[in-house]
Amino acid sequence: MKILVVDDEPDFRAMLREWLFRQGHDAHDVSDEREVLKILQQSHYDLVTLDLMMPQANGLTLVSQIRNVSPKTQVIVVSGEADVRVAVEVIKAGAQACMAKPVEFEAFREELTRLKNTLGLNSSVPGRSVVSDVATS
Amino acid sequence: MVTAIDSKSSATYVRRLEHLLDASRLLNSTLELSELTEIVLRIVQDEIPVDRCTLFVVDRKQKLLRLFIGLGGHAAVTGEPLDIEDAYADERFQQKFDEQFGYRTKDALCLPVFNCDGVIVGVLQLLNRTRPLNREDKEFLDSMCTYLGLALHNAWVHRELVESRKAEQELRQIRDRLEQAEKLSAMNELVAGIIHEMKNPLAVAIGYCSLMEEEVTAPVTERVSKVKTAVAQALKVAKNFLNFARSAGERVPTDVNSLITQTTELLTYDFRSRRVKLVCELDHLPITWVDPGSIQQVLLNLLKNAHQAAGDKAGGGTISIRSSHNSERSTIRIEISDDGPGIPAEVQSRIFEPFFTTKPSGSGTGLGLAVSKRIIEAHWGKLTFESTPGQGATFIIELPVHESTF
Repeated sequence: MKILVVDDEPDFRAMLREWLFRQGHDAHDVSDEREVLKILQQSHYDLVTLDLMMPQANGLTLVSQIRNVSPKTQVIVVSGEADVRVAVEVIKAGAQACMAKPVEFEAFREELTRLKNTLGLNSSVPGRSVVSDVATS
Repeated sequence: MVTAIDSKSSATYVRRLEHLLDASRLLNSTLELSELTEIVLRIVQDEIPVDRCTLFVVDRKQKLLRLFIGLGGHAAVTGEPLDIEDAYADERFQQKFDEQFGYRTKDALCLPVFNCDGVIVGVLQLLNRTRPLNREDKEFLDSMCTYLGLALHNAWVHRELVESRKAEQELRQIRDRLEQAEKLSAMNELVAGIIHEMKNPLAVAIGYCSLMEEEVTAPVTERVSKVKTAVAQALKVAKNFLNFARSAGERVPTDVNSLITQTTELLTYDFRSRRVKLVCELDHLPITWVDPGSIQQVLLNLLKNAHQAAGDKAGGGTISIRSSHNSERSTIRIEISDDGPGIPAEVQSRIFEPFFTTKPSGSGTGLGLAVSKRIIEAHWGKLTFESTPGQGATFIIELPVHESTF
């Protein structure tokens, strides 16, 4: 999958991008959330992972904007503030899932697999086993 | 002509003088109004042949007798004594008092009492004499009223002085404690900010540990896993603390048992350092609508109090936390017990008062239990306690599972 990691925290952004890359994804990252919509208009991404607490924009609004600008792009919110209330708001705004920081990679993998299945990107090989192979090789 | 004084009346005269002297001494030695009243009524009833004797005291703040109707009230307003032979024939008489007290007033004598400045301070009322009052009786009553006026005046001055000192002291205490509460709140904000900043790097460290786990082999994998667990623990503590430091928020579906566990984890070190044993008996609880931060604050307050009580016990005490669900009432119940010294009977009625504390000066704000009660009541719940001095204390939180089912 082509994934855009949006987070203003450089170390976290780099770490997540590296992990996604190792899972076999085409991962990119951006720190300024104002750039996100511009990037999505220029090229297609299957998934955006988005931090909710960013200085320049309201994360929830950005979720809806992403879904409007690029309806085929899915959004997973990754936030240090994730709790049930936030998760409900995020899903209402159009995100696929809401994950808490620090990221539980096992749960993240499952989420990505589910997403791939939804998008029909892994018709031949089940995503989970591919991912596991990469991780243990 | 010389008036012969027989031995009987002479003895009465002497006794009355003695009584007056006693009254004067006693009235000068007490400054408490209730005590004063009791002394006067006892002496008057000993000496004057009446069935009932009452002292009305003028309320200084209202400037008038509380009871400014009726015969006593009339005497207070006019400052003139009233001697009524047939109360029911007098239009100033209020029959309702007789009805209220199940009494039948026949005659009445109302004597105004003045202080040294000539201001009325009370009325002495005597009802239903058993024989007509003579000149000596009236002289005796006049003297009593004079003493009484002085004593009431002194009692007022004393009470005002005590009240103003008490008010001043309370004001100072409230000011000090508010200042302390403000400091605490500022500290909370500061700590919340620091912890929020700590969360990010900790999350990054955990993420990289997970990446490393996938690229190294044993024994390094195990070590990385240990680092990850340790950092995750630090993050958990930071998150728990942040939850607490934040102000009251919205009610969300919450697993209260996990709130209890998180809160006890915050205090693990304190418990261990004072050899306090913690026993948790947590039954399955339904998801409950609460503000997790506030409820955690209540749990923390109660656990800290219990810790203090149990920690005072030689060899370390025990704290028990029990949770249970009442499906009929749709409520959950949390009990926090300690086996410390218990709550002394004399302070039990005051422990939920704001700024009331039994801890040494400077170590408690006296706000913990007051705030806790407020939080629980804001959730439509109840915070109560049971304590037998010497046998520990149990605080009980009851909360509705859904919003407002109480």
